[in-house]
Amino acid sequence: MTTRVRDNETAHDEPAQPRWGRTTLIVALVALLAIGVTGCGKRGSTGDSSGGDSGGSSGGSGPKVGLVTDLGGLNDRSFNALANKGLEKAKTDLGAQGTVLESKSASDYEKNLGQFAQQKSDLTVGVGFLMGDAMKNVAAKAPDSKFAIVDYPVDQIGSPKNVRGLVFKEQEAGYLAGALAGMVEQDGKLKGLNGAKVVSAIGGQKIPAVERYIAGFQAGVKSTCKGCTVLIDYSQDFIDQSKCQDRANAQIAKKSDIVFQVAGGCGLGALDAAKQKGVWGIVVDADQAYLGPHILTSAVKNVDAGVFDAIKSIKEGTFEGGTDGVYGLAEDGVGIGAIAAPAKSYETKLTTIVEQVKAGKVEIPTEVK
Amino acid sequence: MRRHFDPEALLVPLLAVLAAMLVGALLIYGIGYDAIYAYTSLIEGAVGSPSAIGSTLLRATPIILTGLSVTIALRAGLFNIGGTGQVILGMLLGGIVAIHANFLPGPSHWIFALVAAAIGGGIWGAIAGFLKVARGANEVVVTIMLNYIAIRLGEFLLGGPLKEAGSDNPASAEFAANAKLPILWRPDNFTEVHAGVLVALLVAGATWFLIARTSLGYQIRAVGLQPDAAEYGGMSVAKVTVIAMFLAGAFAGLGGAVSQLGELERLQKSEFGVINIGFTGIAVALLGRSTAIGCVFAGLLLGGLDSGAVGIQNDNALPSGVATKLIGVIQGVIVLFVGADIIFRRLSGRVMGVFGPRAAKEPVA
Amino acid sequence: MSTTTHTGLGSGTSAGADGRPILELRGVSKRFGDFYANKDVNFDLRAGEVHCLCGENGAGKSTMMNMLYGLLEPTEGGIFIDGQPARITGPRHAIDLGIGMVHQHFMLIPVFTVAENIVLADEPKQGMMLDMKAGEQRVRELSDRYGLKVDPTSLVQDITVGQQQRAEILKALYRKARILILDEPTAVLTPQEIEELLNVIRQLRDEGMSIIMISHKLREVLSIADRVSVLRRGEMVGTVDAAGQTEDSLARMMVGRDVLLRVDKTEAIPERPVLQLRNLWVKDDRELDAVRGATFEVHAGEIVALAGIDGNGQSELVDAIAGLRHSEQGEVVLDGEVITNLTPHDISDAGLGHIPEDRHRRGIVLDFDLRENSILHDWDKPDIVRFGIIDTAASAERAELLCTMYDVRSGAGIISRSGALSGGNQQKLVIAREIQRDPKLLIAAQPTRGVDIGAIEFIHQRLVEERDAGTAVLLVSLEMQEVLSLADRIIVIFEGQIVAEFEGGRVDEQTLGKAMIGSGGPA
Repeated sequence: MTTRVRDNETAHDEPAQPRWGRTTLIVALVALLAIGVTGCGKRGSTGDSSGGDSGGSSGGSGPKVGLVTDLGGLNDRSFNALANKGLEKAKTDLGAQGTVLESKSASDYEKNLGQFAQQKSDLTVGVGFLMGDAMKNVAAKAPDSKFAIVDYPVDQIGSPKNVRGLVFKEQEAGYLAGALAGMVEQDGKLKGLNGAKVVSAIGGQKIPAVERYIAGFQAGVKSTCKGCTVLIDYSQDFIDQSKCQDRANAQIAKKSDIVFQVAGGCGLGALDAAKQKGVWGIVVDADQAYLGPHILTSAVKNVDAGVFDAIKSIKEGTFEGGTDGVYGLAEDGVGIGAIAAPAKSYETKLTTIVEQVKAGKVEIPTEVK
Repeated sequence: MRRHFDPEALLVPLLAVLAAMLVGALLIYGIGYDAIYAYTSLIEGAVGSPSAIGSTLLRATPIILTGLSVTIALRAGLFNIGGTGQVILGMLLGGIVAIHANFLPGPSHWIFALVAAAIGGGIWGAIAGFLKVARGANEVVVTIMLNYIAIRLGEFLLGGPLKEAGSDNPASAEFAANAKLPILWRPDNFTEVHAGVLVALLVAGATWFLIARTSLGYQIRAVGLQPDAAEYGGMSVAKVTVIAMFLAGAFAGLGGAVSQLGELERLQKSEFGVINIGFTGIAVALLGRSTAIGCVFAGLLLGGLDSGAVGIQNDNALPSGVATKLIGVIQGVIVLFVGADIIFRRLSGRVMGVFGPRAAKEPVA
Repeated sequence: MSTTTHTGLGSGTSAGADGRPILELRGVSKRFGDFYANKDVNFDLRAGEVHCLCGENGAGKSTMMNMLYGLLEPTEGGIFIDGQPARITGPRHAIDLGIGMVHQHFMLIPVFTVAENIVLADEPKQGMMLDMKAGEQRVRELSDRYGLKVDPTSLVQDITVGQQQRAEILKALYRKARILILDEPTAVLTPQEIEELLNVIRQLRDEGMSIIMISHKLREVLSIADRVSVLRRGEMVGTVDAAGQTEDSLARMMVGRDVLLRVDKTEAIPERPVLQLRNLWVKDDRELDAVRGATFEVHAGEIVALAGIDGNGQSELVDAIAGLRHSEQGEVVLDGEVITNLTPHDISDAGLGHIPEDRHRRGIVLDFDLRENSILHDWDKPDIVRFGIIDTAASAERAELLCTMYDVRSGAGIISRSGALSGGNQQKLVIAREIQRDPKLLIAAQPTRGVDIGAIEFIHQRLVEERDAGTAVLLVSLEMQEVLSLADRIIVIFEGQIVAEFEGGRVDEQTLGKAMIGSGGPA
C-alpha cells in the first residue's frame, strides 16, 4: 500500500496523462503530414514551373515594376484590375518584371509603396487617389525611385520630381456616353423609354473625377438632345448598393429612363433599379456590358493604357516626374464601351463625334453646371 | 491566473496553426505551385529581416489591442463583436484631438489623443454594456448594430463637419505633427515602428495585471465564470458588465488610434467601411485563449502572416492576388479550429450535465 | 428494419438469487502514476441481489465503476462476467454485455424528450425513418412495468430531477441491462422520491435484476442492500451481509475508526434575537408567491432548522434574507438593523454568513483556485485588497488558514482548481470561509448535501461550535435526520408558510413528517 494519503481529486487529475500522450501523437502526425505534403508540393511544382505560369512569373529583362493596389484588391473589376492589366501587357510587350502588393488597410499603402522603393523597383505604381499621403511620404524618402499614381494629379501633393500622376479626361468619356443617351432620347424609339426626355446621373461623391464624368455627360446629352433634362444626385457612398438603388429609384420616378452611375460598387444598385424598372443604365470606368441587356453602354477609363504608358516611358528613358500624364480619347485613355444591340444604329454617328473630340473641336466642361 | 502549465492551452492553438498551414500547403499544391517556396517567402516576409520584423510588429499592434478588447469582454462573459465601431470611435475622437487640439504642447498632444480615443471607444462599448444590464439587450446584437452606426457616423463626419476646408476629397485635415506617434525604430527608410507597439504591449501587460492581480479583474472573472457566485459574493454584476465593456471599447479605440496616428496623415471617409481589425481581434482572442499574453503572441502570429503575405507577393511565389486570399484562408482555418474546440467543449458540457454546463467537469466520487 | 419488442431484462443466464456470481472482480488494481486508485480489489455481484458499495469520497468507488463500465482499464487483475473473463473496451461494449449505469450527473440531452433520450443510439426505425411512436410505446411499457413513472413525451429540461433519474434507469432497461449500476442515486432526490426509488430498486431485484448501488447514506444502504462492500483508500475492507449490520458498524468500516453519528451537543442558551422575519413575502422565478408571510426569529446561540419538503419556499426565503432575491413585502431585521432588499454586499457586511444550498452555482467559483474562493466576499476589504490590488500573500494566507482549520484536502494545495475538489472538501471550504467571517447569523442551507460521512460529522460539529460561540444559526435541510439531530428549534415551512414549530429533541419523525406535508401539528 502506498504510504501517501491522496485525495480523490488527484485521482481525477491523473488520467490527463494518457491524453497528453495522445495529443502529442496527433501533433507529430500532423507535422509529418505537413512535411509530406509540402514535400510533394515541391516535387510537383518543379515539374510544373518549366511549363511556365505567366501569372506568377516575374517576366523578362525589362524594367522592374511594382504595383500597389488600394483596398479593392485585384479582383475589383475596376481600377486595380485595369492597372494590373496594363502591367500584364507591359510584361508581354516590354519584357517588364512585375510584382503586385495588395493593400488590406489604409496603413498598408505606405508600407507597400516603401517595400518597392526599398527594393529599387524601376517604377512603383499606386492605384487610386486614397494613396496620396502615402505616395507623398514615400516619394520624399526615396528621391531616386520613380513613382506613378493613378487618378491623382501630382500638384496636390506638391509635384514631387519623381512622381508622375496618371489622370484621365473622364469628361470625354462622359461626353460620349451623354451624346449616345441624347440621341437615344431624341429618337425615343428604344423600348423602355417614356418620351419625357429625362436622363439622370448618380455620383458617389463630389470629387473631381466624378464631377468630370458627370459634366461631360451633361454636355453630351445637351449636344444631341436639346430638350433633354439631366437629373444629378450623389449617393455619398461608393460601396453600399442600397443607397444608389434608392437614388436611382427616385430618379426613375421623376421619369428618368437612362441612369448613368458614377459610384463604383454602389452604382451596381442603381443598375439593378434600372433593370427592375425596365429602363436603361450606363456604367462607368470599365466596360461592363456583361451585366445584362439593360446596359446601354459604358463610359470607360483605360487605366491600363496609362499604366502601360508609364512603364513604357521608364523603358525608353522618357519618364517625366512632377507632372501629370493626361490621357484622353486621343491617347486611348478614355473611350466608350460596347453599345447595347438595339442602339447599334447610333454607332456611326457616335464615331463622328469621337473624331471631333479627338481633333479637339469640341469644348467639354470639367465642372457640373 | 493560471498556475499549472496546461498543455492543452498551448496545444490547441498550435495544432490549429499547424493544421491551417497544412490546408494552405494543400491549396498551394492544388493550384500547382511550390508550397515550400511560398512558405519560405512567407517566413522571410514575416521575420526574415529587420524590415520584415518591423512590418510584423506594425501589423500586430492594432490587432493585439482589439484582441485584448475581445479578451477582457470574454473574461466578463461577454462577446464583444463591436470592435469595428469602437475602433472607429477611437479613430474619430483620437483624430479630432490630433487635428484640432493644437494648444497641447509636445508629446502631450499624442498622449491626449490616445486617451481621447480610449474614452471614445470605451463609451461606445459601455453603451452595449449598459443596454445589456438595463434592458437585457444581447450584447452581440447591440454591438453589431453599433458598428453600423459608427461607420455611418464616421462617414457623415468626414463628408461634412470634419472635412478639410477647401478640399474636394472626403478626408480630414492633416494631424498635427505633435499628435503623430513618435517613431521608435526604423529598420529601413520606409518602415517606421512607432510608439503604438509600446502602447499595445503596455495595455497587454496592464490587462494581465488587471485580470490576475486586481480586485476589478477578480470581479470580472467571477462575473464571467459564475455570475450567480459573483452576486453571492456581493459583486454588482451590472456594474462589472458595464466596466468590462468600457475597457473592451477603450482597448479597441486605442487599436484604431495607434495605426491612425502612427502610420497615417489624416482621417479618410473611405476607411470606415473596410475596417477589419475589430473582427481580427476576435480571432486573436480565440487563438490567444482569452489571455493577455496569448493575445500578444496571437497578434504577432496573425500580423506575421499578413506581413508574410507581402513576402509571398514580393517573391512572386504565387500568382498575383492569391497570396492575400491564401493568408485569409489560413487565418480562417486557424480560427475555425480554435473556435471548434471551444464550441465542442461547450456542447459536450451541455449534453453531459443537465444541471448546467459545468456539472460534467465535476468529480463523480 | 424494425427490431422486435424489448423485454427489458435479459433472459437466460440469471436465475434469481441463487448465489452464483454474475459479475466478479478478481485482484483488480488501477494505478495512476504511482498512485493506486484501486488496489487488489475483489468483488462479486450475485444474480438478483442488491449489493451496496460504500466508502468515503476518494475511496475508489468511481474508479471501480468506471472500470466496469469500460471507461477505464484495470492495470492488473480481471473482470469476469458469468464466469467468463471480459475485457470491457468501452460503454458501448459494457451495454452489450448487459451492464447499465446511471451516473450521478445524468447523461441526458435537455432539449430531447424522455423517449428520444432513451432510444438514442438504438432507435426504432421504419425504413430510414425514426419511428418515435414505437419508441414512446416501448418506453411506456417499461415504465408501467417497473413503476418508473415518467411521461415519455416530455422534454428532459421540463421534468424534475427524480424523473430524469427514472429516465436514466429506463434507458438502461431499454438497452436490456441485467446488471444495473447506480452511482449515488439518492443524492439528488427528495425524501419522497428516495422512497419511490427504493421501491423501484426492490421491484427490479424481484424481477431478477442484479444491482450495484453506490451510496454513503447508511440508512438507505441498510434498508435496501442484501450485501454491503466497503472500500477504503482504494482497498476492499470487506463484504458483509446487510442483515446484522448497524449504521455505526458500517461507518466504522468506512472511516476506519468510530464515527459519531449522533451530534453531541449541550442544551442551547438562546440570547437576543439576531434574525427577525416579519410577514415576509417573496416571489419565485415564475413570479408566483413562494414565501407567503413568513414570520419567525432566530436567536443568538441557537440552531433553528427550517424543515420542509424541497420546493416549499425555503430557497426563496434564504435568497431573500441574503439579498439575492427581492422581498415583495415584509421586513428582514438582522441584529436590530433592517436589511430588507439591501444588496448582498451590504447584508453580508452587516453580519450574514451564508452557506448556499448550491455550492456549484453560488458557493464557489469552480474555476477559481482555493485562494480566490477564500476571498469571495473580500474583494473590497482592506485586509485583502489595497489600492484595488489583491494582496496575494494575504489571500494565500487566508486560504491556508481555512484549509488547515477545516481540513480541506486538495490535490495541489491552495492553488488547486476548486472544481477539482470532492464535494465534501468544497463544502468545507465554503463553511470555513463563512464561519471565519465571524457572522452574527449563519445560514446553512443543506450544508451536508453530497458530502461524505466523515465530513458530515465534521460539519455538524462546526455548526454546533458556532452556536456555542453565540452565533444565530439557521439550518435549512431536507434531511429529516439532520434536522432532528442538530436543531434546537424546528420550524416547518409548507407552501411558503410557516405551518409548525417544534422544540428540538421533543418531536419524532412521524410528527415532523406530517407537518412537512401540511397536515397539522402544533402551530
